[in-house]
Amino acid sequence: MSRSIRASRLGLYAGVALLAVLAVLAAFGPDLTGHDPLFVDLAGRFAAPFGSEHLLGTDQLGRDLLARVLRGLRWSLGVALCATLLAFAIGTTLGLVAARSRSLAGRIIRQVTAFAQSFPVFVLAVSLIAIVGNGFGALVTILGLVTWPVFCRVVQAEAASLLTREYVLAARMLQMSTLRLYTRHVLPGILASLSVLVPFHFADMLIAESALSFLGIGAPLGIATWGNMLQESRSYLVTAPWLMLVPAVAIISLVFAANLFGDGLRRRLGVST
Amino acid sequence: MSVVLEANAVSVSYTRGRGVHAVRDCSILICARETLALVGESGCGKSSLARAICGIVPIDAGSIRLHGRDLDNLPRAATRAARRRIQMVFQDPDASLNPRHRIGAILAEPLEVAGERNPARRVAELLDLVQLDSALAARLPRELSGGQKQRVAIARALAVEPDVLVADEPLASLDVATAAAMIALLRELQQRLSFAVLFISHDLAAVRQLADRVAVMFRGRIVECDATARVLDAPTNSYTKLLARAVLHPLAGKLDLNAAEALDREHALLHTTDT
Amino acid sequence: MSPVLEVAGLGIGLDDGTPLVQDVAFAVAAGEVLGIVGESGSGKSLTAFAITGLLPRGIQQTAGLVRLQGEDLAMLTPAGRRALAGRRIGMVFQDPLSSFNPVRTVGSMLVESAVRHRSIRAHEARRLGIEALQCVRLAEPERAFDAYPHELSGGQRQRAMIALASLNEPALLIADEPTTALDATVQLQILALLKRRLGQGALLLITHDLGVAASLCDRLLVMQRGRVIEHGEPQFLLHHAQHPYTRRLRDAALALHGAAVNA
Repeated sequence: MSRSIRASRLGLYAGVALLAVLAVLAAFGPDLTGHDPLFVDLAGRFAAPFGSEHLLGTDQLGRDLLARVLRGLRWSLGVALCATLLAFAIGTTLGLVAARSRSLAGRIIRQVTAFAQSFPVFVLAVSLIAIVGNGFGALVTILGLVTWPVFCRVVQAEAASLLTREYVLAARMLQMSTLRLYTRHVLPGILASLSVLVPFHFADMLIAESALSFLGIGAPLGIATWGNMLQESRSYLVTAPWLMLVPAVAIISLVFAANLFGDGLRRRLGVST
Repeated sequence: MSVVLEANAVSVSYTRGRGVHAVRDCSILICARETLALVGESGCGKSSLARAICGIVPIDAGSIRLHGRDLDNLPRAATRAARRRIQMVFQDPDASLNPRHRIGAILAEPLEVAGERNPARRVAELLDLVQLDSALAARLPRELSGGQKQRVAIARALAVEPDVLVADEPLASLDVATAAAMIALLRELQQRLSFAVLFISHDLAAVRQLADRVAVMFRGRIVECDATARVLDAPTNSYTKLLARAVLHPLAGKLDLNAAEALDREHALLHTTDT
Repeated sequence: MSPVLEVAGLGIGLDDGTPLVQDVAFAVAAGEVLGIVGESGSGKSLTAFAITGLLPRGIQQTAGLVRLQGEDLAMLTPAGRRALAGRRIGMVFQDPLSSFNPVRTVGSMLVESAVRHRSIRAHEARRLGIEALQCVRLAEPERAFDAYPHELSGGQRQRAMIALASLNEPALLIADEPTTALDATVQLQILALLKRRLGQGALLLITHDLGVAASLCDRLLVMQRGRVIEHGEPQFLLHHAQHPYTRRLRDAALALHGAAVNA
């Protein structure tokens, strides 16, 4: 076994393990800390980490940071995962349509996808949220709706090339149904590239969600998220740096885990990007 | 003899509407049990014509008729049923078998699509038909040799008992000995199952072995079409004459450089004269 | 006169010791064409790779020696051996599309080869490159110079490949199935071109097509399962084949050509 294969396997397993740990923490963590992330204790403000009953300390309102970061984890994972799945579903469906069809629909999809490539989607997301308001559903929908071209582009390109492959032509000549053609021959062929795209997109969605929360337009007020924790920590950077460090490390580790997993998967499946 | 397949004044262009024609006004007939070879250099349009006949690329003008029925003017269901009577074998056996499917699944697919209830037994029969061991059904395409893969591709095409088998350079990726065996197999299968063959090739030696008649294509047009021996031994078209002169026979001795270059010049001239 | 290429007792095997080619020996003189024929898996392409030092990973030369113009190639440093390709050995493959770098123009590859091996300036290299494309009779050499490989037809690509391989007037030209993918008229042109470009060099022609081999080669080696089983002048070999494998190859080839020209 060559060194690069071993390294990629290690990265893949480490990414999986890290993501699994974070998922378990998101599911059960907030209930195990024994603290309410929203409970204000003005007497116990700015408790340093590892000092008291608050493992990671408290913030400017005396709220438990561990509870807050774990609640934020649940929120971030939820938003990023759902937005990724939405973008995946829309992008894959439209990509398959665009790959095959010479119709107007196919042309429009290709144009939109090409346009989205050069359009600042983050700005679009910000404007849309400003219009429709925030909340879990709105955030997921908007992030999904502005980022599906990422999947669409890959699916369209790969499916179009597969559709000219001779084994797909042979299948077409048997006059099988389009559904069978796609599920038996086209989708399995593009699955490798698609599955690699998912973790990377997930990481992008995490960062986008944190950025939106940081701007104060991601999560509604009263929900602890990493973005708004970071935002609030700015005033206390010198006096209480852990307020910034805790959510920052959380974001970095989750994005890192997703990228590690994505990269390991990419090498394992032999997909070039 | 009854005409099975008829292409009438067919034109095909590379990109629709741009007017660059790969195939211009081509007409061919294939009779039952007959093998018609379509020969010509790469880029002459022979593959485009074959693919148009198979319904893989759309035609700009003309019609394709199977048993006298225009394939583009039938109800949808009838078109599907009729198109299934034409099957194709491709040049590269590596590309024509789905690398993720086992041989058994590849051969079962046409049977399932055609509504066969018990494909397993027919798969064994199909493998036997192309003289392969039925144990190969459990293998993946990459575990087979090039010749074996091409046999599987033939078996898949014959699974739906087509009237016409279109073979696009089926021997080009094979060794001499494997190619010779493949020719023998095709002839035997054709005797037994009595389908018609459209054999696309640039290899005149193979054409001589297989074809009853030959159609020669040059720059998108059919320039000559007649019985094999007549076309190859006494060509009338100037391109066909060049082609016949260019064949290298193993016992013909060393290449005459001057003759080869004269041929090169004539060939270039043919390409620059207007048709 | 000493031969351009001398191969003696050549053995090639997998890393685990499984032999693939055994005891292959031959010599090619200046201006001579030697053909190696055999089916795929006979070891004919591996032999060519061993000469150029480009054996795939996991396969290595296990025995024998390769001499180019009297120089033992095993004595060269790995870098020196790599430098052979392009300078003293030119190579032409079956499918130039996959052996050309797809993102570089034909001209840039010609210029790079000329500059690296001849220490000349870039504008001189350009002139040289266009000249080389003229020599292989590409219709519009300037246009071909600036073209990407996929913009040329199969025959044009093979011409460009020959221009690149023969650019630095190598002592040895190796052509591995150079015309297999081409149709008869183009095949003939490419073979004539190879012969003409050869000049004082030696040509090693690897093919499975006896018609191609007989048209160009002065001598033929027949390989089967990694060994040379027969060799000789082509027409003599075809008429008086001793080995059953050679006879089978010949009969298969003659069968393909039909009774019309059978001798």
